[in-house]
Amino acid sequence: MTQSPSSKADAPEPAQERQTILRLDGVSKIYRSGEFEVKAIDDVTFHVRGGEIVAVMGPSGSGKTTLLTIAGALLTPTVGRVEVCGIDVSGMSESQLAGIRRNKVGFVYQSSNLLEALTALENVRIVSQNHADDKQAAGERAKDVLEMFGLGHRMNALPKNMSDGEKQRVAIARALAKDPELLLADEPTANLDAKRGHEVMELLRQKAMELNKAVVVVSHDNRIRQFADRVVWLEDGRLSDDETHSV
Amino acid sequence: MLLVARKNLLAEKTRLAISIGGIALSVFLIAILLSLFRGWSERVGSFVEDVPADLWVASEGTTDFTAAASIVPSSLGLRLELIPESDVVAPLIVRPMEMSHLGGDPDDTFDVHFVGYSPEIGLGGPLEVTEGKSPPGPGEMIVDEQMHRRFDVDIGDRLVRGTKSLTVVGYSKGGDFVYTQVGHVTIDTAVDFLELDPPSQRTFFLMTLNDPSERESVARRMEIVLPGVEFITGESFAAETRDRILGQILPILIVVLIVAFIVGLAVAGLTIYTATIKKSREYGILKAEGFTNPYLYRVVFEQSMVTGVLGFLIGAGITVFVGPVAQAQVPQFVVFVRWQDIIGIAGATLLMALIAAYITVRRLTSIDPVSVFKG
Repeated sequence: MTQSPSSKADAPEPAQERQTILRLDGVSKIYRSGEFEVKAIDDVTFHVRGGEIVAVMGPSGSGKTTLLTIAGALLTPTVGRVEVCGIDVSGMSESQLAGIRRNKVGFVYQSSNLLEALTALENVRIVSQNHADDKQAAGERAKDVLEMFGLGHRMNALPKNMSDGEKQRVAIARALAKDPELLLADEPTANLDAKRGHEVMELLRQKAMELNKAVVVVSHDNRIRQFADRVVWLEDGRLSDDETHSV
Repeated sequence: MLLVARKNLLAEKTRLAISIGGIALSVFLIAILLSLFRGWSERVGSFVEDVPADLWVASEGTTDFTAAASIVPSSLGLRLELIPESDVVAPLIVRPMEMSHLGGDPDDTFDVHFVGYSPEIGLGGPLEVTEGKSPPGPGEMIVDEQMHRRFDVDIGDRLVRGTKSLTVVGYSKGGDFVYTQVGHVTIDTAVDFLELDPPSQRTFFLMTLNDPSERESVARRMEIVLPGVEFITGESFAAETRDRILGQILPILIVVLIVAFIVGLAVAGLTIYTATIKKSREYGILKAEGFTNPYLYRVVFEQSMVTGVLGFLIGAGITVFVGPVAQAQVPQFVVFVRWQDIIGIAGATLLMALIAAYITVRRLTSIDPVSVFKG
């Protein structure tokens, strides 16, 4: 069993130290098909604190996305316990999980995954307003976040009229607009060239630090390492903190 | 309306137009067929219904006006007058036939529902003479104005059947059965024209009673007193007449209405379903972002409802506009748009939209939000 990545998180925290936002303890995800059984995630223990950026790296098929979706309350583990902001989500119903995703988790996807019929502002606003009680304030916040990402002049642009870099910035703005505690990014630079990828990661790191978000970035892109506070390695569903691996 | 629903609808205008067009076509077909049926129904039975008779008296086995196979002796009239409740008794000679213009092509015929009545009594005569002479004299006929419009039968024309002819002297209203029209002559003219043998035979007797509310009880009693004679109330006779004509059309109409409904449902269902399949990744994103299934159902439901409402408005609008125009061009195209039918069609459209949404919603449920992380 791989325990070492959690060792930092398990260390006694000073009172002023940042709170643990994501906690996976002994998590396994097993897919069964007839007599066959595949362990996508195998006994993973993994903690992330607020303001911390953790890169989960590993080869294709290692279980990175499965880990991310379990952390993001999209999948429930077969075994183990998952806590988001101190709430045990392991045994929650589908609607309860949706509530956790709505209120606590922001996603940045490999492709921007913007809604094609909606403008940049509407893409951000629809997510922020779904989360908020005060719809007007959420709408204003959507504008502010887009301004913060330098997209004030592109608010009314449709995704089809935006560059890949702009779309990914809108996607990050959307993830942050609902002010989640946990930000999960799946290969956020995969569809971007090196320069755009660097810009996006730098922006993600900067805003996550400013806003004190716990960030997990899943990638097999070695360039991600430089933006992470911590890098963990996932292979065959098992986690280690060996940073000497390269993809 | 939800932003996503509105934007998705407007983002694909061609798909929206197809969807609305399909429903509008379906609504139009349903509305025009129903209106046509109502129009025919209204027109076909109106003469029998509007003749102010409480009872129609005919030989046994007679059910309606158009078949008119009834033969009763003229002496029956005297016996009917002796019934204590009886007020007015009037004989009628009715015979469907083909006639043509004298001097015209003998093969260019048209159907006439020939009615001989007693001008002295008036009951069973033209309901309303709009032009010309009334009552008709010997050898003269008053024709329904629809016959005048459709077959160019004008006042002064001579209409012929075999070796006998009649002169048209007026037009009347309310005698249109769509497939045929009434032509009124006097009883004596009818006996002569039809060469009835014996000349005392009649088709019906019409009766009014001193107290119309007694018509059912009088009819039951008289059928016992006068075996072989039927006493039929005006409403029942009108209904049977309608059924005789429209009963043949109704099953066909129902099939076509069902087909029209299925066409609308198929177009709406397929366009909404394929639009949802196309957007399934986006619905997956919304699920991943914490939007619940009921929210997504509402998106589809609203899209379906808006499509349905627009389709209904366009389809119903076309019906209201096209109906009278078509009627003006083709006299047989008798439409009567009832607001009750429009409400019913609105309900059918709502059902169409609901089924289309339901089919799609089932697909939404199966969209896995994890799928948005793949590529």
